[in-house]
Amino acid sequence: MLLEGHSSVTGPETAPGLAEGVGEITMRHYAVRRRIMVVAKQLFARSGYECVSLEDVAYGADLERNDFLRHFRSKDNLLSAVLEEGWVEVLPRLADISSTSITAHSALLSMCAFMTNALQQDPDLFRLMLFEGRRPNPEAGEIGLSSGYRRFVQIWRDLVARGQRDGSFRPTYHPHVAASMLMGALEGMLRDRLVAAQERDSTPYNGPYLMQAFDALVTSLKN
Amino acid sequence: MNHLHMYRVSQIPIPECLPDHRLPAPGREDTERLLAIRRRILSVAKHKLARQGYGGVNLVDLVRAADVSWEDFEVHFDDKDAVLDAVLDEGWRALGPRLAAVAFGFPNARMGMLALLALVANVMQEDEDWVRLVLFEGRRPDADSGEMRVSPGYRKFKHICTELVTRGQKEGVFRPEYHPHVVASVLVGAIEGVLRDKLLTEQQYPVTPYSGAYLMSVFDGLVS
Repeated sequence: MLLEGHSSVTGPETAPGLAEGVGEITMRHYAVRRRIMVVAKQLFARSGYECVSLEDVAYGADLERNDFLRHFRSKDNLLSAVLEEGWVEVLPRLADISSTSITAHSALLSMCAFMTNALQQDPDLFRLMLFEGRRPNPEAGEIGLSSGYRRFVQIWRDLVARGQRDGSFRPTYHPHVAASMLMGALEGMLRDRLVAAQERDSTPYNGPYLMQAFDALVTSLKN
Repeated sequence: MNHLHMYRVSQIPIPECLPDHRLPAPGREDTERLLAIRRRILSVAKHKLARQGYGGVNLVDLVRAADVSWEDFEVHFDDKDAVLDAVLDEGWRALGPRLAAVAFGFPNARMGMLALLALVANVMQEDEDWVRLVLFEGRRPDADSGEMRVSPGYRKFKHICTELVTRGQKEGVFRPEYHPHVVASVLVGAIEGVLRDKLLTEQQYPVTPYSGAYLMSVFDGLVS
């Protein structure tokens, strides 16, 4: 699958019928691209997007600048690719949760649990999603959003609308506003959990407390 | 049960208006001139950082747009981080007393929380540049330590919410089994989510469902 914004980059699979050796080149190209993205994810997440230069990423990936530029034309391009790769991991799981849950209420709780676990497994990705995923475009002044994030938002909006049909939520709330509130609440908990961990705060932002609070919030939309 | 930090709201440090250690001998005219320069820099910086993003603003452009000299700029700020911090703190400092007054001026915590959320939503609608900064630039990783930097004003706001939740638990408004910090994170996150999506939706559509009535109905549900 090609990642958004990288139409010039060859995918990992080699088309049948290609000359011998082409597959090897493609695989090498793919391996280098993977190396760049792994390094970039860690650097962007831990030092911040603004403080990391393309040279830093190229050095970390053990590449010359020109070799690097064959894969990514700009830092924006690279950040988008890292974020989209993350969403590619997360979104199918959320879609599965949504489609296999009996009610919208239970789907939202399962999504909260999944996101909380995913944060533990890949904190770098979540730092990027929480702190670098929405950035103003210097020219247009508009906030840029990844296509993965847009799909994420749509899943939540659809769930709230479904919840209004299955009785999980009161129909008086606008589904977009209720979804924004729920997503914001989840983000708030996950963000404060990261900050508490870095400050060695004893506040228990652990699974049961988070689930309990999120459950209360979801339930409040029904009453 | 007391999960709160061992400090009071009033003890959370908010920076002074002027960096005293850099001031010349304090003549009245000097001080007024310095304050005027600082205000001009912050006013220009706020708009540029909000509209172009932290990464899209460089200090040369900022100094030129504020029409001040480098020497004057350096009296007040070391770098772009310091400018962003000052813009955020200035906004929070103006809001701080109103937040505390609204939060604790009501007979019960539920009404206080509702009023607090409404106040923040209103203030943020009045000052879009500042809300963009709070939502999109307010938390940045420190390049050296890798830690997330959170402004003192934001901490104070979060602390007020936590105190309100604790008070509500004592009054029986909120259930006591919830951790007040976690509930405050939910409430602050929820209002941020709504305001952020309001801004994002307004980029694309002239009319959005993020209007006063819809917002208040979800806030009401949120604190019930």
